Amino acid sequence: MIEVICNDRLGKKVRVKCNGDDTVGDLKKLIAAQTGTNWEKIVLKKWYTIYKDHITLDDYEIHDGMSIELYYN
Amino acid sequence: MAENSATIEETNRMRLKLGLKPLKVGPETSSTQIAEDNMKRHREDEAKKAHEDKVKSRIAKSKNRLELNKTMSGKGLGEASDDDDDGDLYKWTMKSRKKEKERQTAAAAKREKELQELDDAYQGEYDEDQLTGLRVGHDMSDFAEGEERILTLKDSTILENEEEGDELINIQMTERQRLEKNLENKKKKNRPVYSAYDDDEFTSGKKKNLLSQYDEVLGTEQGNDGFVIGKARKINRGGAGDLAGSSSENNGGLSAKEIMNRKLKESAIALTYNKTQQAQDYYTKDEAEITFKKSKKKKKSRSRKTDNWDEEGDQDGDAMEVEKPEPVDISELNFVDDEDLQASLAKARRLATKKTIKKLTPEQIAKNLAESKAMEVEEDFSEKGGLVISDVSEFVSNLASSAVQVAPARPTQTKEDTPEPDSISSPAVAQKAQEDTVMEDTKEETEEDSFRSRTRAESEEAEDIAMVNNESEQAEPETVLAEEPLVSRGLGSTLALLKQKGALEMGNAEQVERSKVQSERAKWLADARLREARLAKEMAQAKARDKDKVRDKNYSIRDRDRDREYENQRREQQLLDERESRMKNYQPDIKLEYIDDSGNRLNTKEAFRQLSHAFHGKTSGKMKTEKRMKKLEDERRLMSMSSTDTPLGMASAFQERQKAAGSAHIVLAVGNRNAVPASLTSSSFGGTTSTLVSGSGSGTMSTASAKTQPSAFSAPSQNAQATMSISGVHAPNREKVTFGLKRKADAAPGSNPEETAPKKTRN
Repeated sequence: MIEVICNDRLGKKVRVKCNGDDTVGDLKKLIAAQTGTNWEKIVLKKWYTIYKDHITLDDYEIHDGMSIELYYN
Repeated sequence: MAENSATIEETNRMRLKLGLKPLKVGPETSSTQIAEDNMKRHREDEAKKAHEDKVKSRIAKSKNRLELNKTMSGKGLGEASDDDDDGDLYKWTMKSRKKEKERQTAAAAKREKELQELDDAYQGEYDEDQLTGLRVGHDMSDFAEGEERILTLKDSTILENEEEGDELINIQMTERQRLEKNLENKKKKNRPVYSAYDDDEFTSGKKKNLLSQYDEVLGTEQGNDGFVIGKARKINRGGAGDLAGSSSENNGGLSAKEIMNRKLKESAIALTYNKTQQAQDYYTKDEAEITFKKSKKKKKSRSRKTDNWDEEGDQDGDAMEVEKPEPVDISELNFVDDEDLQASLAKARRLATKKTIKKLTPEQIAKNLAESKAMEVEEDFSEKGGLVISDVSEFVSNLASSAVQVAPARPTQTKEDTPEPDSISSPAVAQKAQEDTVMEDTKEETEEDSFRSRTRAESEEAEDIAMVNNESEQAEPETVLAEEPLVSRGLGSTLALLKQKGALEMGNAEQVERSKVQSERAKWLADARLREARLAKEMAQAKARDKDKVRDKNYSIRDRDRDREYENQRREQQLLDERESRMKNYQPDIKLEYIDDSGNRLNTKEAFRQLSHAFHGKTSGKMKTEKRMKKLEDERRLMSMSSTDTPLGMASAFQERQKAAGSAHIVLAVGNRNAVPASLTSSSFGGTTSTLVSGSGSGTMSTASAKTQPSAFSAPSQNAQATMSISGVHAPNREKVTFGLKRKADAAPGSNPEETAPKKTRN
């Protein structure tokens, strides 16, 4: 289990518990459940890299305690 | 900022709803830990293995030792003697010998057994059948019946053996074959090697080696003349026919190419023939029959061909024809069959037409004319007795009559006219003068080409002018509209036409000056020549005198030298004087003429413009160029126009109307109406009706208007142009008539008294 911090810098900051082998899509769903937004509207970014839905967090090397930028489209 | 986070339970509930597996809460089994575990296990394994190896080696060692001990048991070298007979040498020797013998017999027995086994293995199976399929390297015919030959396997490399299989040969026979072949090759060497035809490939079926004549047969190189044992025997077993059968079978095994070769050889045709045979002048009867076989058919076709006389020219020029068609001579032809007759008649007709309808090129015409003229001139010279009326005589008589009138007008008609009086009374004299000029022309052709042509042209002009005069005199009472002289009538009429149109300006002051200068130059040239001739003559005389003097005996060498020197000096002085005097009244005849690209003559201004344009690489603009082009075009149009009438034939129309109305005038307009009403065609109008009187008397008024059109008119003779008097007026049924050169007409205001009434237009 890892814990990632997602911040949209507009007032929403969530700490999400997930597995390393979860996909980004799963993470988005978890975030959506916690924040109350549509998960399809969520865009996760680290700098200019947009995380794609079908790739796991391990593959993106997202570790415990990392913060991810949260955007909406 | 509130950090929103869910507990593990909440998250797991959420995950359950989303269809995800629950969070792995337990301690993480990281990859490093797994790796460590793996390493540990691996080490343990290795340790175990090492232990096992150690145990195994220990066991083996002990075993070895055991075995060693076993072999070591018994007596040692030192103990042996102690063991048997206590060092008895004899006994030991006997024993060792016995041992040796035993060993040998055992080995022999073993060997024999092996050999026996081998023999059994081969001999048991080897018989006739083993030989089937073996190739024999000799032809079947090489073996005599009942003869015994020993065949051995042929030496061959492994590759060859792979390819061809085993082959049996008899060494003696191959040796003999080789010998024969070598002998043959030696014979061949004496023959020339090169043959122009590279036929070997086709005749023998295989390509020759390079320098094959030097090849010696080293091994047994045989073709495919061998046979295979047992092949035929299997087909027809038993009997004497098996040999032949096998050979025929062998034949069948040949490749298709070789069979073809063999067939071709059988049906070979010799292509050699006597190439140096020449065509002979004379043949025997038989030969002649062979070489010249004329078919009746062919001749027929040819005669038919001659019918078509358009193609005849091509036929004659045909170089490819082998048999030259005999020239058809009409006189020699016997008119036996109809076709030949027709052909000959056609040819005759054709020749006749060819003679008459000959296309005359301008050069030919000119040549013919010149020839006929020359002939006639000769006739004139030779037979002066009879009266001959010809072109030339007419020409000359005309010339004479014109000379009377024209001669005083021009100061110099011929260049050496010192004895010529102003008026020549008789035609004979005129003729003589003409001849004189011609003869002088021939004398001084080279220098005075231009001058001569001028004089010629002038004389011809004179003739034509005379002709025109005559005509105009005859036609004067009725013509307002003089006929334009036709160009086709001759050079004279052409000149007259040009003059009438103003294209050729005559009697120009400048031209007169020029002709004067030219005549002076001609005179000067003649003088110079005369003087030169005189000088040469003098020199020749002087030389002759010198020679005479030399012959004189009293005349010493010194005297001669002195005299000669003096003479030379004198002569040089004379020459210089001569030259000076000659150049005293030298006047070169120079006229610069500039001609543009299209052949128009340019005046100095235009020439300068052209030069300037060429120099600066730019030309005048579009408008200017167009203007100039328009001017040129106008001039050209003017030249091509009729000089006697308007282009619409107004004057003649007026005349016709006058004739129809029977009056001497025409009503042009009534009041402010442009046309005359149909009812008012009579001549009873006065007052506002303006009339134009035209007719034979209008020559007087024309002079004024003629001057305004310098290019259209020039009047060398007074009465020739008297008819050019149409001042353009409105046509009866036309509203307005305007033409190109209206400007020119307007430029001379008040020149015509009628100008005020109908607007004067003319072109």
